[in-house]
Amino acid sequence: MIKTIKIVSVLIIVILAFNLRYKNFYEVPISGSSMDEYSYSWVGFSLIKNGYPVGLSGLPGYKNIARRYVNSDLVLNKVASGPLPLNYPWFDHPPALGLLTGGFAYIKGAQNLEDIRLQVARQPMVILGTLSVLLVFILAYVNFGYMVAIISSAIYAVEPMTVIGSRMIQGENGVIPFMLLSLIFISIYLKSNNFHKLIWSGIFAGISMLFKLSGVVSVIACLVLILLLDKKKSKLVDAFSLVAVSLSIASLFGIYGLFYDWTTFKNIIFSNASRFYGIGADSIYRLLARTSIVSNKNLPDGWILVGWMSIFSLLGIKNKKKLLIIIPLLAYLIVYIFFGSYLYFWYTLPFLPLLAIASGYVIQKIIIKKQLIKGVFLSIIPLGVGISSIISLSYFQVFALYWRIILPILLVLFFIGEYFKNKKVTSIGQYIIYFCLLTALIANSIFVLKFGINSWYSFSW
Amino acid sequence: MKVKNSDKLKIICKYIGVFYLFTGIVYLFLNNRLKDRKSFVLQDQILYNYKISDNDPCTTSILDDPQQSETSYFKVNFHCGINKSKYNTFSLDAIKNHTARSSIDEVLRINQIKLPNDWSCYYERNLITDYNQEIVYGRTIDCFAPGISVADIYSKP
Repeated sequence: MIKTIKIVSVLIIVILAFNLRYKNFYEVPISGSSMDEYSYSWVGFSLIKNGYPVGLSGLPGYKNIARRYVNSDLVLNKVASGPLPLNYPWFDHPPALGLLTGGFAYIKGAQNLEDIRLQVARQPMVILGTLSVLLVFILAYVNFGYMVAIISSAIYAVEPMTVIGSRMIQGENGVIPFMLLSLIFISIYLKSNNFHKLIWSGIFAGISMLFKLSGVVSVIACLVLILLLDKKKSKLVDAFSLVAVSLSIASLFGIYGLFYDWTTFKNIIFSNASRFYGIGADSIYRLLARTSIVSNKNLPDGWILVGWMSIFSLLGIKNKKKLLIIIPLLAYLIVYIFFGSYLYFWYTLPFLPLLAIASGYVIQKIIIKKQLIKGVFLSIIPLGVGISSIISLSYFQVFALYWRIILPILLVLFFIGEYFKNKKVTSIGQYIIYFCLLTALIANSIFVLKFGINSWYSFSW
Repeated sequence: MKVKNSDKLKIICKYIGVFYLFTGIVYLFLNNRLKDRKSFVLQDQILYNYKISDNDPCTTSILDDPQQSETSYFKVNFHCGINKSKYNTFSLDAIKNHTARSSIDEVLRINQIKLPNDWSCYYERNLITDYNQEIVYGRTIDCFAPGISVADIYSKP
């Protein structure tokens, strides 16, 4: 019976995640928020249809450039862009994501680049996003147990930045599921010592690099985890095996470059290295504090801050398993800082599943250990943000008095309960924290479901 | 399943051998199939085809950024009524022939609209009689619905 309830709970979260991602998926983010979405799909489509990759770039180093107006979704009537710089053969990023979205558009009947509409090309992203929620559950379950997995996947399923960001055709959204798969298999390997699981981890880490080179985070994270957590004498052989498998797969991008034009390929790889460092010196602050999906479009998401607070909290917890979250996060932080080019939100997407698991772990620990004051802080942030996203400030005045009175009373009560270890107060406190978190998740779901094209223009936060 | 170190290395060598053998076969297959890739030419039909989403030329317009195409910009405007016009700025770099016909066609194609046959077009306020006439950067073509004239639009305060 309990097993059935557990499975049904996971299914509910996955179905909810799919519905939230699917609703308005082609309206929000609006077409033209990032021309990369078209470029990725054009590359995959032209590879399949014409055997040659054509995409948008503008990077120096390309020999072939054509400026044309390709008006998919009538995007050039909404965004001032000028003629689009089409480069070929296109090597900005590996082509796996383009093959997925462009290939899907091809199957659905697109005849040329302009025929590719986000309504079609974003559909595989909805599936990938939903799959990532399931993988967050599995990764958290393998390492931290059922309750942490449920909390983490529920957060990742509904938080607005994740839901809306996961719809975008961006390489990071392809990196995430394969990074999670490689971490799942490395976790199983570290527990079971099954060498084939290590190979699978290497395969998935390699595949993540075929979506975007920043997928190297999967290889780095798994390698460091082996070196730190593998207790066997053979860990150097294991580390070598992982790197050999993953880099052999990643080398397909180099072979692809060799196949089409090695000189241009080299030029673009070096050209990428000398990109403008637009994230600036305040990148870490912005990473922690910023919730804008595109410039000037902030979304109400309290979970990101909770995630970072949880990471800091995790650092103080004595548990080696925490490294399974901390190491990938640090590895991606290094990749983010090193490769950082612009302050685009999608560059930060791979942090989010790790932050969700960290949040799930810390929230669960807080509830078990009855650390009510910490619990109030961690739950009141997403609760407050969630409420303010669905209730206007003027309407909130109706509840203002209750909020003013109840919140301080709770703080005092929880302090007394925690300080004097009052069992009655602490057990009531646990339920109140659960209630706050559940309300926050429901508020997030309502917000995302209502966030369509009109809200995109009218909503401000 | 416990695997010895020597066996692990054997497994990895086998894996890499099979992987690159398979990759090599695919490479040769594609190399043969896409022999003429080095002479690839980006043709317009790969990018787009002409389709009509709207019959009204004044529903939408190109939001070009003249800064990006300031050396090559050209304007094609559609006037459906005295207070109903759409202004399009676009780069002539995007079209091969710099003629009145090709520039109007390009704007119609981009906006996915159709221009009714009874409209008349003017290049720098001179009626176009030969649509193959050459056009020059920085100039304007205005197309008018029946009943609207150059004076109706340009004499407005």
